[in-house]
Amino acid sequence: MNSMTNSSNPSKKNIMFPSKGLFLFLLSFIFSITVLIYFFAWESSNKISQNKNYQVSWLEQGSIFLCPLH
Amino acid sequence: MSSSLNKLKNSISEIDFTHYGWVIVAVGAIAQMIGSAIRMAFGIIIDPLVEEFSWDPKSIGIAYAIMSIVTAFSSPIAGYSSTLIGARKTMYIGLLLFLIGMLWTALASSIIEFYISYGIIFGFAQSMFLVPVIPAVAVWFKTKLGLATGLIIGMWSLGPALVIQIMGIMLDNFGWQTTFISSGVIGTLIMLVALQYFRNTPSEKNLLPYGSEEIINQKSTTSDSNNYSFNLQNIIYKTNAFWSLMNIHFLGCVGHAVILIGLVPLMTSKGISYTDSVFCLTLIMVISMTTRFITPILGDGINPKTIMFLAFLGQGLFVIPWAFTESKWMFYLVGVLWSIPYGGEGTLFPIMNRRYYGFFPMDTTYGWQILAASLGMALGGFIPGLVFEVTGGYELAIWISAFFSCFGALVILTLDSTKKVISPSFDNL
Repeated sequence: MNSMTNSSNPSKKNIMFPSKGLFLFLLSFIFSITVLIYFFAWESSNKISQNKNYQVSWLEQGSIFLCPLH
Repeated sequence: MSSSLNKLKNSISEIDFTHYGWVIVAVGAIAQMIGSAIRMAFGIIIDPLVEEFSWDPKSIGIAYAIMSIVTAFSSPIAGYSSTLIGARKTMYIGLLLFLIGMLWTALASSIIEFYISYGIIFGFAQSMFLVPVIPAVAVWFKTKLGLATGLIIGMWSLGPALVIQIMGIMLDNFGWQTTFISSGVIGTLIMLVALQYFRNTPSEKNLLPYGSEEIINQKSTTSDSNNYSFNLQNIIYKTNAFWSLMNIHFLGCVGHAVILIGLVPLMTSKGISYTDSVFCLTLIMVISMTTRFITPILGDGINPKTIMFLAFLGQGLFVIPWAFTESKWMFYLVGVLWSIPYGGEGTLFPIMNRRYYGFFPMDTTYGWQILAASLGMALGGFIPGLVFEVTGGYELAIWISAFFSCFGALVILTLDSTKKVISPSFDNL
């Protein structure tokens, strides 16, 4: 217990804003969303190009709107 | 390295298996078996439901998706509940939900009822069962946490494999409704007996944690203890390690979920038979069971950060040959190689928590990590189908899997050293 018994209460000493951890976390989140948007937009644009009368859902329309490559 | 291994060998030979902590490990292993079998049992009820109610498999699959999402988002709640009222009471709540879910699923007559009973009730039951187990065991072990968690995590693979076989035989003989009702009742009775021997902390049994040589300062009241835990948890939220470990668990789970869902379709798309493709997946499951058991012991004895880095890097790099190969035997060979890091990838989180935050109640922290892991599994499970829709193949999904795992390895490199706790101000329980 020696390393955990230096004080009686947990203090905020030595604790800083977790900028590195949060940055990498957000990077993963943004990358995951990007992958989903890209493939959804790809799939939606394929469906539209194959069938001009295809009724796009809000999800498909949103992904095409957000993806700069489709 | 060899001196570390010798040290590890000697420490294993000196284990005292008479300590009550091993009873807690046994109860935890039984809970893991029952909890994980809930998820695995899904595959065997699809056909009977299609036959009886004429529901289409896609609609039935939605129940599984609901269950996964409910489990993910209720995991931090389960962790919080375990901190607040203790692991034992939380597992009793999980047990009650398990019984209700099993009976209701067996008696469900509409798809909405099935979504509620299997999706929502089971989703909650699973998190209430699975989240408190590892943190509860961690409180019982000051040393040998790697072996204790290795035994329990090994049950994630072995438990469902046994339970599914038994349920399969029952299904053939008694039908799916009787199988679900009897499994629910038997599982509940086994857990009721097992939980009689479960204690939240060693102090409830007037014992010291395994490997502890001094009396730990106990808080005078439950309220003080809870305040202390929540105060400590607020500090943990402000550490880089908390966010990075969640991130790493998410990335690793995306990496292997893509493979677990996409490997069989990838192999069949190359002209390999369905039976041979399923055998490759079975081979991966069997080999990964051994590394799932061994990795926490190695990590605890040597250096968890290094072992975790190697596991993530291996999981990321060993999938790449699958993007090029056409041969069945090459798929098997790569499968054997890949299963080694895959098995070890997700097992070191309790050890890392201990190294960073010391001997602390890790219920809530672990609950958040399970949330990230579950979301990673959901995303990873979704990718192969989406990739196939647009490319007509699965090769791109393999590269996505490799990228997520290798990025996880990169994030591990940014973690602080595990040689000392992050803040010297962290107190014990």
